Amino acid sequence: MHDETLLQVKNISVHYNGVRALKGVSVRLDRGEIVALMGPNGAGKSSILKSIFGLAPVSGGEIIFRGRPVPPATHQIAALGIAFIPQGRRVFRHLNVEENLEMGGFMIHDKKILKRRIEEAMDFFPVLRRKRKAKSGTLSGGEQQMLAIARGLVTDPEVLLLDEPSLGLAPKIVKEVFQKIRQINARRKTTVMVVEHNIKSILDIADRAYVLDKGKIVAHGESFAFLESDILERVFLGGVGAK
Amino acid sequence: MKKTAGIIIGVVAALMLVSAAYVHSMSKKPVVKDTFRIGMIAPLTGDAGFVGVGMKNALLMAREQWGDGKYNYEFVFEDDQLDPKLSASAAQKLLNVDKVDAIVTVGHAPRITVPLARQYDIIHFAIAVQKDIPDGVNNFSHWAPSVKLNGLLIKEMQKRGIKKVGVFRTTSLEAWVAYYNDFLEGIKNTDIRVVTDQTFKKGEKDFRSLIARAKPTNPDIYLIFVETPELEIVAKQIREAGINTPFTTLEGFEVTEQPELFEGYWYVSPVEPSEEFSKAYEAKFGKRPPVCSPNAYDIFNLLATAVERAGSSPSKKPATAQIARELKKIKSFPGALGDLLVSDNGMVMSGVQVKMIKNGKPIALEH
Amino acid sequence: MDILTQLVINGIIAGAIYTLIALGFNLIYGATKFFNIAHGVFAAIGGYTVFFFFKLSGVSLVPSILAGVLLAGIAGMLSDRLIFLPLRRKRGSSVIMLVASLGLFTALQSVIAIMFSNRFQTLTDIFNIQKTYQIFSGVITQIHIVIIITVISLTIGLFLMLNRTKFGKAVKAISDDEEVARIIGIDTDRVIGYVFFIGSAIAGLGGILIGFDTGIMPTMGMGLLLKGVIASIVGGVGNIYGSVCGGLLLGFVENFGVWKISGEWKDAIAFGLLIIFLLFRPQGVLGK
Repeated sequence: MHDETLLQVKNISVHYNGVRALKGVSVRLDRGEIVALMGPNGAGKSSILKSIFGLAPVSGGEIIFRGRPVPPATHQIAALGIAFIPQGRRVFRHLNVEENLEMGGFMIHDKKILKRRIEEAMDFFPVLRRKRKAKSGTLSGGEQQMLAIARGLVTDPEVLLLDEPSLGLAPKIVKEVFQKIRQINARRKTTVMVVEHNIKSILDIADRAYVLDKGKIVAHGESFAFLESDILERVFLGGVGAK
Repeated sequence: MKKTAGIIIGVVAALMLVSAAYVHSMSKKPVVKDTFRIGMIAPLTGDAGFVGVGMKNALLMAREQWGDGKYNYEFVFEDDQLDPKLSASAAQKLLNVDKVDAIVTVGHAPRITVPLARQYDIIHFAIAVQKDIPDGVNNFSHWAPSVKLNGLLIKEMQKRGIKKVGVFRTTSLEAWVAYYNDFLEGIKNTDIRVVTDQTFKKGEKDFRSLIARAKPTNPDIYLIFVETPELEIVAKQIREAGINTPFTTLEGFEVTEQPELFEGYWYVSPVEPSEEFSKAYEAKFGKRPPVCSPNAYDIFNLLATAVERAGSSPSKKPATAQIARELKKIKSFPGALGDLLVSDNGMVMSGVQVKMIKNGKPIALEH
Repeated sequence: MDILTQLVINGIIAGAIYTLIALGFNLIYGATKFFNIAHGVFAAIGGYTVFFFFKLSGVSLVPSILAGVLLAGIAGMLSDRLIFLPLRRKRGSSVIMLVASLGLFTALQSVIAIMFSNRFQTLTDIFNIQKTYQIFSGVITQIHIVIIITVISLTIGLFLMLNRTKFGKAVKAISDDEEVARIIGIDTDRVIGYVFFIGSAIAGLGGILIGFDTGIMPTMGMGLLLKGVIASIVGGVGNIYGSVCGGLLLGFVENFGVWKISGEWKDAIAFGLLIIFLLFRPQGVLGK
């Protein structure tokens, strides 16, 4: 079912000012999957996504997308077909909803295609259509998160990377967001990698998951396996990271 | 007998050797003249650079003309760009590093050097108008006195029937403030009034609103107390405001780069230097001597005269107190600026005259 | 009243000049959140380039002005590429960037002084008394009309660029969130380089126009920068309409201020205005 490996992170290490955030970490993403990256705060989950996008200082290892090494310059990656929704609902606050979506399609030169994609994105998130002319800074937290994800979809990416999409959102909204992610994966066939601390929500929709602790992968497997084991409990409460 | 002869010959020979050596050493040994070091702090670059350069040239020319004196005269020239911070550091360098015996100053430097001259006990000759700079002990000055300049200015205004004066002046330089205060004093017993007094800081470029304020008062003449570049900018902006009233000033017009702005206008300045000085300066440096250069020339001659009178031996220069005493004894001295007199409080006064810009050049008016 | 009309005109003239400097400064600040002190020296570079070509070398007016604007723009872009970009990459703190820009300012200013001497220079051959026009009961000169028209055109031009072109939208995105702009595929380093070019070219144009009005001096940059910064902050930093608003406000306050107070207080009034805004409304008149 998932045999083509789209994205491979091989053995990377990340150091911030001498502090080691990741050591020898490898993850892979196969076509059509939803993969979860989990772990306690500071485990290094976000660093994995950031390093794919050239936003973290990577020393050692390689990152391969569709068989080719990913360029280190951040702005060259969107064109490959990977979209990144960073942590914190980072919309362009001074632009309105429609303009934000337009910016998402910055790489698209054909105006008709851009328009179509924006309409499709608004189909997916009807609340955005209702508020298309509203300045995005005035939207609620949940609406902003939808906008951030929608913006990523405008390029119709093959791979969607999300960093803590549920952060700071009310439980009801969190549920909605994860429903949307599942729909994106099911209907649009977008491959997804999600960093999440909300274990229940993510394991609900993920096919596979990795668990990180203190910069290393400590567990990895199909999501149902995690629901049955106590590894998560041990990691989050005790810490199982290799010393 | 032979022994005695031998001794006599030996002694005579020794004596002859010794006296030969003595005479030899006496004739070979040069008289070691002591060196009198004179420092100068003036703008050598920038808008006022021509002033310092003129002073430097005049000092060099004066020394050359002085020739072989009792002492060697050495100069140390420091550029302060008319910036008081640089004046202060220049003074410190001259006093502590070069260990000068005298300093010649102009602009902001005089005020700064006055206390240092006392502290280090050297002779300070300022080309400055402020009355409180010379003290006759360490500090001397050589400039046409402000009272004299203003006196002639006011007299000329009265002669031409001027009653209302509009003033544009800077408060950033002491000299202009001193001039203005003496101007106000001088018009007290006349029917001349200041109808508008617009002040500004040096560095200002936009005088238009000050001009708008002055315009309705309708002066008979505008008195501009500031130098380049503000002088030209004020004049230009007054014209642009549609005001055709003439301008006048003290000293200012002859040092402008744009004399067309002041064509046909009279003003008051220190007397022209003597023909002799001007010719010699022009022959040596290729241009007319600028303002302050005759003063520097006179200062060297006055100083050297006083130093050589005060000093007894060429190998030891005299003390400051002795030099000061000799300076004050000078009551008639042929200088580039006329017959010079050193007052008891250290002021060397030179004459004043009315001039006009004609065909772009300053000419003296009949007085 | 005669004098009031003239003060209003003077306020607009001064305001236009300050706006000219503030426009470029705000454009760069908006995109990079960087307080570029060197901005002032690009005005001097513009003025001195025209001085060199037009006055010293006899090149005709329009090419000289083009050269001045271009050279100022290029100087700005180079300073970004060679100094500010590497510092940004190293995540240099704003203090380091500020010091670097101050160092650049001083160095370039010294070079100009060495090449052209410290003295005040005029850009026209004879000390040109400008053609003047009567407006209501006040007077305005030709060069001031040119300055006002230039500022209006530039403001409209910048508005169109920022809102109607793809480049402009990229600039706006970068102003909001530079990292996300990169994530969606904008080559932010290149765009910022062009922003520096445009902003510095505008400063150069300002220096040229001011040079024709009053004159140029190697040290002209600092005074202009300070007024430009005050105009920016008072109007609303990072906002082009803020530049216009702040520039006009500063111009008016200065000129009406000296109506009642003596001329020496002009600078004090300008900085007083700045301090009032910093204390009570730091986002400026049009700030968010």
